[in-house]
Amino acid sequence: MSKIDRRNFIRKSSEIVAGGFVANTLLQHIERSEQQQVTSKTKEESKPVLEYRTLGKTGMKVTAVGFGAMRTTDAAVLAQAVDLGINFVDTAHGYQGGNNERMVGEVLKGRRKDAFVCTKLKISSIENMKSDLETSLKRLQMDYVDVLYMHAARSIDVIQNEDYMKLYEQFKKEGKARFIGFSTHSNEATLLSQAAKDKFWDVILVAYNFQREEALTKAIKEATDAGIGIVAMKTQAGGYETKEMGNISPHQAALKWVLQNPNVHTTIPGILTFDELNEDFQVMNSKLGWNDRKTLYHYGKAIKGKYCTGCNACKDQCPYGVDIPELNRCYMYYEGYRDQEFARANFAEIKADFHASKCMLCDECSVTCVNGINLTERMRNINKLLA
Amino acid sequence: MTTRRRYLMMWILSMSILFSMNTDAASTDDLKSLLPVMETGSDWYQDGEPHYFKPHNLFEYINGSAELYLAYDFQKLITVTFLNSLDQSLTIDIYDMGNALNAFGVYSNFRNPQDATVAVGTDAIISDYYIRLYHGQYVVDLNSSDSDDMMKKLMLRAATEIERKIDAEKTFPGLLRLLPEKGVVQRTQKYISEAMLGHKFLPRGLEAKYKLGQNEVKAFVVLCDSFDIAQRTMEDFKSYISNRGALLGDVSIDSVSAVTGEIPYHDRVIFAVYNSYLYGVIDLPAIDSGVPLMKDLYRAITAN
Repeated sequence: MSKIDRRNFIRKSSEIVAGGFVANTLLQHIERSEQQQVTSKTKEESKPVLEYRTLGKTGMKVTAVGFGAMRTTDAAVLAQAVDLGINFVDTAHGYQGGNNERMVGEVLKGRRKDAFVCTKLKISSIENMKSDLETSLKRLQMDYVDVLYMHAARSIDVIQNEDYMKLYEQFKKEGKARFIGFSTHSNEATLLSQAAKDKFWDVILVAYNFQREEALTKAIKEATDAGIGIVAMKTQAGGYETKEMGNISPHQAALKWVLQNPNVHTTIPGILTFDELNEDFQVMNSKLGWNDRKTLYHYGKAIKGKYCTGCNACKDQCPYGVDIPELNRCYMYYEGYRDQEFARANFAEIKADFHASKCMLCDECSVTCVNGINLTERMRNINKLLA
Repeated sequence: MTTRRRYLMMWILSMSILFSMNTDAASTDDLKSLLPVMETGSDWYQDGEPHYFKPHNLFEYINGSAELYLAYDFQKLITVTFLNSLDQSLTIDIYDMGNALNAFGVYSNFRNPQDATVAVGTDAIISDYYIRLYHGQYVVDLNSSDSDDMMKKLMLRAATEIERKIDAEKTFPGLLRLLPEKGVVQRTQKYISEAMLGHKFLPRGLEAKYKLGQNEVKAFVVLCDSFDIAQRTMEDFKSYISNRGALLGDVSIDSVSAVTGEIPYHDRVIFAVYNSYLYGVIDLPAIDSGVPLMKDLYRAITAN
């Protein structure tokens, strides 16, 4: 690591990272700290800009913006994040074949207490998961992780599976995981509500962004009320560049939108570069303002009627049994992603009884999409394109 | 529009639709044709049809790991699982990365100098439960449920068959010759598709670790589109160092002017431009110690 001392580094980086006001505040604070001969640098340097939240019943005071390491290829970016005070680092057993965990381990070597470390195990056999955790701890050069997730839980069966629950409880008892949880990319609202009732898991890592449905926001609240710590991922709602918006990126606005929900305790935007780190870092302690709302409004407008959030609010709503959510998904593959082959393959799996051919008989669809998609037009299009 | 012209337009449209449909079919058939075939009469059978994934839904299959593949222009994936009567399983994933450089790039992020290797594909790593190989434009993962000898043999046989079916030479991308071989820490060469050293202004390039006495340093070659762009990139890098670290002045190495500096988290750095390449060494304990490697880099770059 650099010969440039840490104070000078913070001075230089903060000038770039945090922009005028924040940088000045940070510098003044550093200087004040020096005058007071305070030795605990991390605390003193980072206090003015960092925003902390409590991760549910774990009691962990985590920074509102954490660090998703899945894309990170240069350890220096993570090292800077930790130096700036970001204290929540997310990795997984499978990322980069283990090199991701190795990188996290290298950066936190000798400063384990500077950050909470979370990793995830692929859901497989009990024996494999035990062995995977040992491997992960070895790569991380740690005796324990702060949060250990089951990676990508998709159904209630998985989060209520007694074998997995016993295993994760055992990890806790053995001191290898301080807290346990699961990550989920699909069926999230159902899993969160169930977890809130079960009160077994400590933390849930959930895909959450400004495009997500109200039901998920409610489920997050239920989980939070039950003491579960909520970590948000995929905060940027996927791709951002839209022709309609020119070069404007709703990156920060999207992150602010997630953090305006007090039930989200931290976020883990994937960070590849120093620039991205800077952008995300500045979001802490800032409110979702008029310009952010305008940016999100324009983005929402640019994709309105195109983006199906997969909320399933239209499921089982058609009196003729048309499977609107599934057909919509096929359409998204066809039109949104320009993948005709995949759209056809998925369409072929839907039984004829549930096809949109029935939509040709209706004047207007009696089902209303909560995201404003014109279902009459959409279903008829699907019938033309895929039937 | 005349009737004749209208027919011509319709014919062109029909042909283009037909062509695109054939391309769609071919795009998955080519991956399917790479799958191994289990011996007749063996206890192994295929668990249903293979599944395909494209860039938009790769997340559904490998979650956050998809980010890395997408950064290397991932094209498509086929995955299939084989089962036997003992409930053992072998899952094979074949990632089509579009070209050999991207395939190597993804693969290079996964390998590690400590990994055990196996002679299959252009390069491959092996553990009790998996083989990961790279060959041609493909990255192939084979994951087994068990680690017994039978499973290992089966994985290796399947990997060898896939390698045979991929029509490619067992050679690394020619660009890797830009990195000198002398002193390199084996299996640390990487192709980075974006943001080298964590900087957006350093687009894509190559890097590898080198042993310098007791120290390990990193050499890098940023691939720019032209000399002018390489020069501008160098200025951006200088400006970053000046703001965040310290510029230590220029030095002449075999009549090439190189910039030196101190950079946060990477100790000392030397770098220079040759043609469309910005090359250099970071993590140096002292500037002088990096001079021989800079010379080797220059030789390797000018020779290619």
